[in-house]
Amino acid sequence: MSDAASVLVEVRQVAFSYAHFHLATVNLSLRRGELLAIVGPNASGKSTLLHLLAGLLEPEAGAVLLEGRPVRGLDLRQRARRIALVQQESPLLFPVRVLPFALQGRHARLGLLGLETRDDVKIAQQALETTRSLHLADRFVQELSGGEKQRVVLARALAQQPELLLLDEPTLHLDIGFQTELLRLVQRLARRERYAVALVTHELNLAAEFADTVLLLHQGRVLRHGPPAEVFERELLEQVFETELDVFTHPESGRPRVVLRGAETEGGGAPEPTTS
Amino acid sequence: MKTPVLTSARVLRVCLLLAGVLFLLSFVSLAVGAASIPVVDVGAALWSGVTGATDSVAADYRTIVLDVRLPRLLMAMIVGAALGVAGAGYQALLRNPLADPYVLGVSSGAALGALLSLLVSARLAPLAAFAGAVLTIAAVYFLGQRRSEIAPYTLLLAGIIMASFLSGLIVFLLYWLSGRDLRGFIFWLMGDLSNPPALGYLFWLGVGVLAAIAVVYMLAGDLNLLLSGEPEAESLGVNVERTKLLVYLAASFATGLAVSVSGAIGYVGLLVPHLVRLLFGGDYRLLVPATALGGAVVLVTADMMARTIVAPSELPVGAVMALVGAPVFIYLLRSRLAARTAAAEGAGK
Repeated sequence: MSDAASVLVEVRQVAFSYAHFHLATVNLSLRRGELLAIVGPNASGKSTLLHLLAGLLEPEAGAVLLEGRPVRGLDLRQRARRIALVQQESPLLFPVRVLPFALQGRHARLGLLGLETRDDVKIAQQALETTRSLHLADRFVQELSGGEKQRVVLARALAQQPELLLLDEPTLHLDIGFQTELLRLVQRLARRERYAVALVTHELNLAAEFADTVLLLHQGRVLRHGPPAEVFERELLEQVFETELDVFTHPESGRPRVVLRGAETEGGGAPEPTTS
Repeated sequence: MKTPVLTSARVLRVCLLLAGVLFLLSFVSLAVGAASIPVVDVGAALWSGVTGATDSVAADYRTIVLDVRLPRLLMAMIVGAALGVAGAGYQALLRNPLADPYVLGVSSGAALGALLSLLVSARLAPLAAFAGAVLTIAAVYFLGQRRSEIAPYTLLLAGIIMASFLSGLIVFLLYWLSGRDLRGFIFWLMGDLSNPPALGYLFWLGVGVLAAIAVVYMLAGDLNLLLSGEPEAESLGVNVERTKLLVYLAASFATGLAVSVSGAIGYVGLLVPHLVRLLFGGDYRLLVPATALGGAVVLVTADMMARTIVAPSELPVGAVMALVGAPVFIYLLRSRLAARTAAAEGAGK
């Protein structure tokens, strides 16, 4: 799978700074069909990197290339046809139903004054079907549960028919059932539909189980990038997340698992209930 | 309920419906007032205006319909359409369902601009009103920001305070300029349609307002997406900064033009987009043309009430709009915004 032809995105010597934050030089390539998980503590630069990939931010140095062309050079509509970004939720002000919401993904393909054609509607419905949310089509987005809403937001991104799919903490506020369901779906999209997918997550075990590659960021630096088994090493993770962890290999999937180390009890007695 | 996907047939149907209502209402509006004129004679008078023949209808009917009521009717339509679309535009731009040129102080800013221009030349009034509108909304926008986020309540408060401050300035100026001119006060503070300009002037006013509406309409699809958040809109292919700037200028231009001829009429920009949303849904590609027509319908109706409730005398149309608009504003404030805030707090847990 190392053929150069399947490389979709290349991050070349990219650096970026905010007022109190610096993302040091990142090099990275992402193939079609690859699922990349970007992990790291809070404020390590995960979302910044994702927004650089999306072309929403202009790198201070270097460039993000989509099939050899800088993403910042694409006009917005072209970019929206090739890259879809699912962001952390923002509130909707006016009530909107699920199908029109999914149809927003078609925006960059409509003409001036354009209304959606039947094909657009079909594509949006298929996207809802893919995320198992077609039955919600007539509901208001505001009324949906967290899990339902996240599927609908993903459907809008799929309706863009992108080549690169970017997800910013898509499993936030979801229970473990929805989390795995969503990640399974994303994995299927990568494997079968050949999307290149990059997702930011705090769920280390989801990343370990579903991602092809993991990028570990810490204080704006890439500490490691590779298959999950190479990234999830106990000493490395403990140092980065500043807590005591255990890492072992799941007997069935062969993927790493990260768990909290059990609390050591002092004096051998039962642990005191903590008050906070 | 089956989700309506917006089609051109639906846009056309809704617009034809509203245009039909507006057309019928126009006849009624030309017929009623201090002197009521039979609808047949209204038709005859209009026809004689088109053909130039003067023998088919009584001369006084002809004068009342063509010279008195028609300019006023056209002005109500133009001003209503302008304020309605400006309200819809500001609501999307500021992501605030309670935004409206009057509530935000933009109309007062436009009125102040127009009033100041009278010191130099009355011909500058529309442009000065536009400048006043642009400056006011910019000031409100910056006052309404907190840590670079627009806070809905702060924004409204900034607008309301701006409106009252500008009204104070207007009263001060009027007193200083023209003594106790009561009509002047009412015109600039509350709006008044009783003194329409000539038909030729109205034509150019209509062209200007139509151009502003066309700009907002062409960006209607973008506005739909802006309501789901600016970063989302950008990643879906919207040029956010350009869209915001154009809508901001177009909405302020429409407000300026309207205020320069009618003074600061309130609540049209608030009520009409909400009514249209309730009746036909919130898609801006339908909302913009429907709000333009609906704004015309609402203001023509309000003007008719203003002319007939205390006939043969009349009320300022702004008073009628405020009597109807203020309770609806309070209702919206308590129901929708409150519900949304509660929902946002619930989600944050």
